[in-house]
Amino acid sequence: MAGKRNDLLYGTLDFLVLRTVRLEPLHGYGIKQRLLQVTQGALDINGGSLFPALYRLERQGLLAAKWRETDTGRRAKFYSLTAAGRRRLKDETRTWERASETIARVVAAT
Amino acid sequence: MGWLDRARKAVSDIFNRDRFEREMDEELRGFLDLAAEDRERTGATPSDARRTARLSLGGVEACKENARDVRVGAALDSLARDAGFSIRLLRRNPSFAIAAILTIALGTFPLAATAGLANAVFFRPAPGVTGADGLVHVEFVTHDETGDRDNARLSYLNHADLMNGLRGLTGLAGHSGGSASIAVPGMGALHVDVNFVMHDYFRVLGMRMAAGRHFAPEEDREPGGTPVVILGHMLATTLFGNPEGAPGRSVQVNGLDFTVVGVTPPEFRGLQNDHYSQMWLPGSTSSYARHVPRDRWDRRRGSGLFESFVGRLAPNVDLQQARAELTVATRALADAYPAENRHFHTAEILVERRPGMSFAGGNPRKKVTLMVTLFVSAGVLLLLLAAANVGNLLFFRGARRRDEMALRSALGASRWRLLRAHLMDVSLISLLGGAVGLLLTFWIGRLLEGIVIPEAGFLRLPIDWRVAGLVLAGSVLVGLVFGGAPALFASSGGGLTLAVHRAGNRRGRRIRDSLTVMQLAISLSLLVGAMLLLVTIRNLVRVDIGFDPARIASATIFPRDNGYDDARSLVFYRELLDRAGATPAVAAVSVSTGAPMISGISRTRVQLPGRDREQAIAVATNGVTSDYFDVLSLPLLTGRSFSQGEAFGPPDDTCGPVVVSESLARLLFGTSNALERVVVIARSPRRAPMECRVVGVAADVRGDGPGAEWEPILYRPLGRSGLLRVTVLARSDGPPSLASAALREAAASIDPAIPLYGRTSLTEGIEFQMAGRRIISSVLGLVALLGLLMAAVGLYGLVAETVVDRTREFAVRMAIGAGPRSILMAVLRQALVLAGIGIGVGIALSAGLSRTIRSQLFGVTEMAPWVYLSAAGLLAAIVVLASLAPAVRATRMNPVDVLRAD
Repeated sequence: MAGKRNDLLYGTLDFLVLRTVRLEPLHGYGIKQRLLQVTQGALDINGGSLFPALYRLERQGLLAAKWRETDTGRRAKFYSLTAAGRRRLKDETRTWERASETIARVVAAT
Repeated sequence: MGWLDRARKAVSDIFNRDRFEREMDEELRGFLDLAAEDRERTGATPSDARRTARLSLGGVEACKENARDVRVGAALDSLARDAGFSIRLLRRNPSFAIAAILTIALGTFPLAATAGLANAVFFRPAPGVTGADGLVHVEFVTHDETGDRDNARLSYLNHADLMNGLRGLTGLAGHSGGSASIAVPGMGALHVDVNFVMHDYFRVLGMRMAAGRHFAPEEDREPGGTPVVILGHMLATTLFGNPEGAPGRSVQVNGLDFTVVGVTPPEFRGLQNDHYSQMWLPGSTSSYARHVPRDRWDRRRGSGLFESFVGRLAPNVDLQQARAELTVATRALADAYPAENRHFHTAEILVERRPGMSFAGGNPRKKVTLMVTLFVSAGVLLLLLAAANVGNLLFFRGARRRDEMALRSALGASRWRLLRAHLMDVSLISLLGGAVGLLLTFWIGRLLEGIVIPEAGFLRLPIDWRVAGLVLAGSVLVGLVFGGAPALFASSGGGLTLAVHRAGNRRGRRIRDSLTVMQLAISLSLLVGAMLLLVTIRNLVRVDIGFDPARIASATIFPRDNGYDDARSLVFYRELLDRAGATPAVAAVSVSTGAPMISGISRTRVQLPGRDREQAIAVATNGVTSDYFDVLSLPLLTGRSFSQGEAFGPPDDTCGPVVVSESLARLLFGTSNALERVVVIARSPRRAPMECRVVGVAADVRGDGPGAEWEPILYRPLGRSGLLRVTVLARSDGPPSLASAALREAAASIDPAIPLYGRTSLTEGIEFQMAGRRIISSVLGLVALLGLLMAAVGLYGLVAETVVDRTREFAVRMAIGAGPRSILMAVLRQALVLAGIGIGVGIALSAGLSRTIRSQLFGVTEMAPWVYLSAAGLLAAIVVLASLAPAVRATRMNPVDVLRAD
C-alpha cells in the first residue's frame, strides 16, 4: 500500500532532502527531479510527502528558503542548507554509513 | 536557530497564516508548472501534462493539508478553524443549535444551582467578613454525666486570663444568639434575631461598618454594660430609612432605651446561616436587656454567657498550634481555679475552620445536606437526560452531514481531523449550553436571594469561579462522553467516514436506541415520583383537620421579653382581647399557649383518680381563653367552654375546670359521659397530683396538620397554664389580613414596644407544613416534564431518521402493493418496542427510587399500581404522538419519485 511505502521513506526522506541540497540551492521540483535522476527513476517522491518535509526542515532551522528566479525566469522558492543543516547532515551521513556498513557486513557474512 | 527564533517563528506562524497559505499556493503552483513543462517537452499534450503533474503532487489539497500540519501552532490554528466552522454550521442550522444548547442549559441548570447552594453552604465564608481565611471557630467541649455534649461556657474573667499572653490568636470573641423586640417611636415593634457579642467581635471579623463604629471595649466591661446596639443594614433601613443616619439614634430594645452606634454592611447576616441576625448587643448587657434579675456573672469565674467563639489566627499560626496553645492555657486556668474551673481539666478544645455554614454550635448541615441531596439527584438525572438527548440530536444531525463528511474525507481530511471537527461541535454546544445554564442560575439565584429554606437558612446561589468552572467542565465532559464517545467507539471499525455520520450503522443505531430507552426510563420514574407526591398533596388537602383554618389570623406574642411577669402578661392579654374583639374586623379572638399547626403543644401526663401513677398517659395540653373553640369553629360536643373569669383566674395550686377532646374522653372514660368526671394531672413525684373537673368535651383536631392523627388534648384555662409564648387567633368575616392589622393596632395601643410576630394566619401554617412536599413535587414534576419533552424530541428524531433510512424499502413495499396502514405500523412498531423496553426499565427504576420519598407520602403507597400504570400510559401516548408525524410522512411519499431519484 502507498501508505506503507511512505512510512518506510518517512525517516530517510529528511536525510535524502538534506543531502540533495548540499551542493546548491534547489526548489521543490528541482529536488524531486534530482532524486529521480540520481536514483535512475527508482525514487519518485510525491509532492504530498516532499513539501511537508521541506517545511518541517525549514522549521527546524536545517534549511533556509529564499524566493529566486529560476533559469527559465520563474519565481520559485529555493532551499539551501544552513550551518545547522550542514552539521546535522554530517552526523546523519556518518550514522548512515556506519549502519549500512554494518548491514553490508551481515549480508556478506551470512 | 535558537529557541527565541523558534518562538518568534511560532508566533509569526499563528499570526501570519494568510502569508503562509499564499506562499504555499505559489510554491505549489510553480511546482505544477515546472512539472507540466517537463511533460510537454517529452511530447505530452498540455492538458495531459497538467493532469500527470497534479498526480505527481498527490493531490493539491491533500498536499496542503499535510503541509499545514507541519507548522508550529498548526494544532491551535486548526482548532480555531474547526471552531469557526462549527459556529458557521450552528448558525446555518439555528433550530438545531437552539435545541441542543437549551437542552444542555436546562440540564446543567440544576447542577449549577446545586453547586451554588453547596458553595454557599460549605465553602464560601459568610459575606461581609474580611480575611475569612484566618477565622476559626472555637468551642470548649465537655460532656455531662450522661455523656451528652455540654460545652463549657467561658466567663469574662476566664476569657481575660486566657487571652493574656496568648500568641496564636489575635482575638477570640464570644457570641450567643437569641431574639428580642425592637421599636422606634411611631412604628410598630419588631421581633428580630439578636446576637449578644463580646466587644471585639466585629474587629475579629474585620468588618467595615456601613455606618458608625464597632463596640468599644468599655461598652462591654461595666457590670450591666452600656446600652448600645449595632443594627443590621436592613433593620436600620426599615427603622430609619437611611442607615447613615442611624448612629446616635435611640431605639427601644425589649422596651429599654438603647443607642445605635453602628450599622453592618448590607451583605452581612450574621455567622449563622439559619438565622438572619439583625441586631447585636454587647454581651454585658445580656441580663439587663433580658429583664433577668441582675446576675453578677460579670464578676463570676465559673460560668459565663458564651459557648461559641470566633477567633482570628495570628499570621503564620496554623490550627494545630492554636489548639495546642489554647489547651495549655485552659489547663492553666483549671489549675489556678480548681473549684470553679474543674470542667476545664478535661475540656477538649475545638478549633476549626467553618467557612460558609455556621460559626455557631449545632449542626444545621444535616438538614441542608438532605436538601442538597435531593437537588443533586434531580440535577444528575436531568443532566443525564439532557446529555442523552444531545447525543441523540447529534446522531440525527450526523446523518444529515454524511455527505459533507464524505466530501471532506475525499478531499484529504484525515479521520482524526473529522473526529476533531465533530468533537469541536460537541464541545462548542456543551460550552454554550453550560454558559446559558449558568446565566439561568445566576438570574434565578438573584430572584431567590433571601428566601429562607425552612431550618436550613438563606438560599444563596453564589456563582464564582469554582461553580462556573465545575458547571462548564461538567457540561463539556458530559457532552463529550455522550456526543464524542459513541463517535470514537464506532469509528474504531475503520473506514474514512465516522460511524457517527453513518446513521445506518448498526452500532450507532444500538447506541441511539439505548439512549432513547434510558431517557424514557428516567422520565417515567420522575413522572411516577411527581405523581405520587401530587396524589399525596391532594389527599392531604382533602383531609378533615377538624376545624376551618380559613380566615383566621394569628400572631405570636411574648411580653416577658419586655420584662412583663405572668400577672402583667395576663392583664395585657385580657386587654388585647377586649380591644381587638371590639373592632369590626374581628369576629372572635382568643389567646392560647398552643395553636394547631402554628406553635408546639406542650405535654402533660393524665390518669383517672385512684390509679397508679405509672398508668398515666401523656397528652397534649393547651391553655386557652373562652373563645378559643369559637374562633376555630370547633364544636363543643357537650358541656361548655371556660368563662373569661376562669380563663384569667390567678394561678393557684388547684387545677380548675378542664375541657377534654373527644378522643381523650374516649381514652379515659370509654363511652360513658365525661361531664363532671375527674381527671388527675400527674406531676413530678414531689408535687401532689391535681384533680381537674371536666366541664366540656370538644371535637377532635389534628394538631400537627393533615398528615397527623386525631390528637387527645387537655384544654386548661390560660391563666393556670405555664405562660410562655402565646398565640393570638382572630377569626374575621373578611380576609385575615384585616384581622391581623386590627390585632397589631390593639397591641400597639396597649404597649407599642411589644411586637406581634410569627405566622400571620393558620393557612400559612398549613402551607408551611406542605411546603416541603410541594417543593419536592414541583421540582420532580418540572424535571419529569422536561424529561418527557426531551424524550419526545429524541424519539421524534430517531423515528424521522429511520424513515429517511428506510425510504427505499418503503417505496418498494408500496410499489408492490403495501397500504399506508402497514407502512405506518412498521414505523410505529419500532417506536413502541423502544417505549416498551423503556417503560419496563423505568418501572423497575421507579420502584427503587420511590422508596426514598416514602416518608413524604400520605394516603398512597409508593408501589400504588395505578400510579405506575397511568405514568406508563402517558409515556406511551407521548411516544405515539412523537413518532406519528414522521410515520405519516412516510406514507405520503410517492414511491415512483423515490425509486427514480435513486
